Amino acid sequence: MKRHPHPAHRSRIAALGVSATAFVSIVTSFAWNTQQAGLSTDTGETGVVPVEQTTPAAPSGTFSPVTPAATISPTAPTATTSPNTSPATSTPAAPSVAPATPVTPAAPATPEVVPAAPVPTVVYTCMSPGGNTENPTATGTCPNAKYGYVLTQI
Amino acid sequence: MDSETSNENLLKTPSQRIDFQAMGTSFFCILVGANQEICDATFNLANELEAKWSRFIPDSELMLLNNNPGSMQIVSDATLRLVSEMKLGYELTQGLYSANVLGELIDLGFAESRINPANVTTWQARAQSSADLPDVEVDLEAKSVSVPIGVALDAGGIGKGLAADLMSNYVMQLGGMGVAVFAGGDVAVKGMAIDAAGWQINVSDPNNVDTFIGSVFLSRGGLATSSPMGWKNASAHHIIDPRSHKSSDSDVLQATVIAQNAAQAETLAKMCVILGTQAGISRIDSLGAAALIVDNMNQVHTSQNWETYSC
Repeated sequence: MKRHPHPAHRSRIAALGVSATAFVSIVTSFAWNTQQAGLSTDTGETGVVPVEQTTPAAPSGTFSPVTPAATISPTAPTATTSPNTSPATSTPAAPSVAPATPVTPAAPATPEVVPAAPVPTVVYTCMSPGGNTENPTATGTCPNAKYGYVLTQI
Repeated sequence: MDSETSNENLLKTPSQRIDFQAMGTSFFCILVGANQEICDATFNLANELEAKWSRFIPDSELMLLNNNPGSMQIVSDATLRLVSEMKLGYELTQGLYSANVLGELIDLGFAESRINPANVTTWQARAQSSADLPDVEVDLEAKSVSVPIGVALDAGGIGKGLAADLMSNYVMQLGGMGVAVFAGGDVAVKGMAIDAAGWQINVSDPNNVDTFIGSVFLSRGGLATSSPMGWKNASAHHIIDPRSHKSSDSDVLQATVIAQNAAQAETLAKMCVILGTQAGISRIDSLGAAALIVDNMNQVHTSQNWETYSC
């Protein structure tokens, strides 16, 4: 029998997708991530769709190895190749694969952090843009998921 | 209520989770400090991107490019970015990742939508050609793209990864304090996490999705998981090796990659599936990204950098 888990619990289980097998487990401790506090948000073009303002893509023919993650600034790609296209500033991706930012070593998986308790659900309803609501189905999905989303207050 | 509980509540920042279907997969977003407008905008953006990039929508921007080869077509900023990411992915992987696989996907039996088989890809300008991503012209100033004859782009995984990146950016621009966007197997995180240690992302066992074989903390960046088991039929799966024009045939059962954004993580994860375990790990190490690969003997392999994120 196929299971239909409540969406509020999906963070602990598989999401089926084309390449879907990465999952988050959220712990209930709410506090500032001190590493985040100093990060500025990305700026984007004004318009409907936000687009990062980065430099054009670099060619791979002379692509240099990227230095290890611990030494890389996430916003300062380190590849040494230069663009071979027009130097427009708006659209393409950054020219390196500088890894994501890890958390500081001082924040390891301590016993009080790891347990990853299920996120407490406070409110659960189906929302449509504009604030219209409807009740979810018994399986925890919106009656017409294409036109709405399930909102869970956590 | 004891004092400890009271203090804990005072520290809580209102957070939301939204779940919805888009791009043929399940999305969910954790938003910290977001309001109703931000939730709506996030959902709307996913649908806008699907409308621009879907191969099941004949007048999507991507299909207009595919069906009008050899001519410059004006496209949105988002599609300009998508095509640029496709070209970058091709370059970074030295051609092992290519978005020019729509013809192969159709030939291998993936013309129909996995979610709704009534949706079928229609590529009208089909022709033989040796052209590939490097031959796709992108004019950033004119905001236009030209796809050469014989090339047909499929947004596929990179579209989901880029959608996660753009949606996470958008949430922050709109005033959200933090966000994690999950688009199938692609994840983009930014800003404040609801956990002090950062966004914890668990990697499932490809043979048992209820168990985890790895767990990482990210404060910003992207993670993507790719697997031949993700979408397959009786004779093929959806990850195409551009060298053979067939489904990849390596020893990789599942590849998870961490990079600076989800779009790049997606292309590198595909590269690992195509290259195979050892060559994939080696290439990831040379690029400075991080990877966890499960081979077809269910052995887990990690790149040098994986431990940097692991928890």
